[in-house]
Amino acid sequence: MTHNIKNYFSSIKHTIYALLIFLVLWWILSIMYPPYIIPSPFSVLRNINKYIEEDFFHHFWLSIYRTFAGFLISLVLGTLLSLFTHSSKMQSTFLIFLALFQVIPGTILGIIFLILSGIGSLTPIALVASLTISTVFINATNVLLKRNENLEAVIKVFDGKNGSIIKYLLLPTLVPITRSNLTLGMGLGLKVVVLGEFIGSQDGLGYLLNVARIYFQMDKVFFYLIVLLLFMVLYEFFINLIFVIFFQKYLYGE
Amino acid sequence: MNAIEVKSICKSYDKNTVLKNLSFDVKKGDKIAIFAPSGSGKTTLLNILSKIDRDFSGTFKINLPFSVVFQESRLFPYMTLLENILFGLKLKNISITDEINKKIEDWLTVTSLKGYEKYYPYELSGGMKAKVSLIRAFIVNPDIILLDEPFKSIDINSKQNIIEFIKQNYPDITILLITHNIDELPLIGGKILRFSKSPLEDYKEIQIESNMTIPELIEKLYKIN
Repeated sequence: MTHNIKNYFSSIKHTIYALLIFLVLWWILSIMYPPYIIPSPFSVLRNINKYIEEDFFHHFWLSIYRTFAGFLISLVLGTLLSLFTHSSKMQSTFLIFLALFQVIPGTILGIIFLILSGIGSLTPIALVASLTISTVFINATNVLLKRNENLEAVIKVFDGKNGSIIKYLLLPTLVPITRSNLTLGMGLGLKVVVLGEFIGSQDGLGYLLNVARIYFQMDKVFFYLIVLLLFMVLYEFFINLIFVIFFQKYLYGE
Repeated sequence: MNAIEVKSICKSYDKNTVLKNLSFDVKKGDKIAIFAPSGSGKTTLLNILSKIDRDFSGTFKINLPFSVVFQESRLFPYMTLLENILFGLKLKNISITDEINKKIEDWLTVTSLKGYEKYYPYELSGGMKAKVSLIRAFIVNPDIILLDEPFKSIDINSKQNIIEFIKQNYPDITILLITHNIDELPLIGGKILRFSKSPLEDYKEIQIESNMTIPELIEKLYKIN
C-alpha cells in the first residue's frame, strides 16, 4: 500500500514538473513569435476571466460528456470482445481485423457518422468509440495472451470452470491495463472529440476552437488548450487515486 | 480399489520421448513415490495426471477426488496468504466449518505461518509460499494428493514437522509423490517406483518404511541394482 501511495505522489510531482516544462517552452516560443501567433502564457492566465464566457462550461461539459460516453462504450465493448475472443480462441483473427480497422483515417469515419447521424452528440461519440476500441481490444488481448497459465492450471485442478478462470484470473490480469486504457484512451478520446467538433459541430470545445481560429483569437485557442491539458492531468490523478485505493492489490507488479 | 490407474502412457516433445508405455496402479490409501532423476519427465507425468496436459497417448483414470501440489508454489499474487489457502475450498464450494478453521490453524502453526495471514505472496519467502501451496492442496481434504517435489524450498526442520503432521492428520490419504530428493521419501513409507533414466518406462518397485533414515534409504534404493 505504502509503496503504491509513494508512487502515486511521485507521479503527481512529475506531472507538475512536466506542466512547468510545458509552460516554460510556451513562454520561450511566445518570446520568439508575435503575440497574435503565440501569446505569452502570462497574458493568457491573466485574462482567464475574459475567456470563461457564459456558455463556456456548457461547451466544456458537452465535450467531456461525449468523450466519456464514447470511451466508456469502447472500453466495455473492447474488453468484453477481448474476453470473448480469448475464451473462443478467435483473438488472432480479431487482432488482425482491428489492427486493419485502426488504419482507417478518423476523418473518413467522421464523415460517415456525420452523414448517418448528423450534427450533434452522436457523431463524436461514435467517432471516439470506433477510434479507441482497437487500442482497448489490442491492449487487453495482448495482456490475456500473456496470462499466467500456471494459475489457470491451479483453477482447473480445483474444478474451476471457464467462469472461475475469467473471475479469478483474466479479470484481475486486466486491471493494470484497464488503468492504462482509462488514462491513455481517454486522452485519445478527448482529442478525437475535439477534432470531430472542430470539423462538424455547433457546440463543444472543438467548436469554440474553430470559432476562435476563424476570428484569429490565438489567446483563446491557447486557453482552451490549457483547459484540456489541466482536465487530463486532473482526470489522470483521479483515476490513479481510484486504482491505488480500490485496486491496489492488482497492481502488485508495479 | 485402484485410486489411480495409468496404462501405456506415451508422451514426446518433438523427437524427445519422455514417457514411454508407462503403466502403474496406485491403490486407495497407498503412498507411492515416483523417484527419478531431474529432467526425466516426472513433471510431465504430473501435468498429464492433473489433466493440464491432454496431448499424450495411452489412458489413465483417477477414481477419487484429488488435489495437486505443483513444483512452483503458484499462488495468486493478488490474494493474501489466507485467501490463497481458502481458494480451493471456494472453487469446490466447500463451506468453511469450525473443523476446517481448526485445521487451518493447525496447519499455520506447524508451518510457522501464523501471523502472516494477511501477507501477499510478494511479501513471503520461497519456502513460505511452498508451505501455503501445500496447505491449499491439503485443506480441501482430497482422497488423493499428487505432489511434485513439494518440499524443494522448505527448510529441513519445517519439512520434518510437515511430514509428521501429514502422517498424523491424513493417515488414509492416497499419495503420489514425484521427486528426485531422497529426503522427501520418508513421507511415503510405502512403495517407490525407481526410474533410473529418461524416458520414464521401466522401473523397480522398492518397499520402504516411513521411519527409515536417509542412509538406510540410500542403501535400500541403490542396493537393488
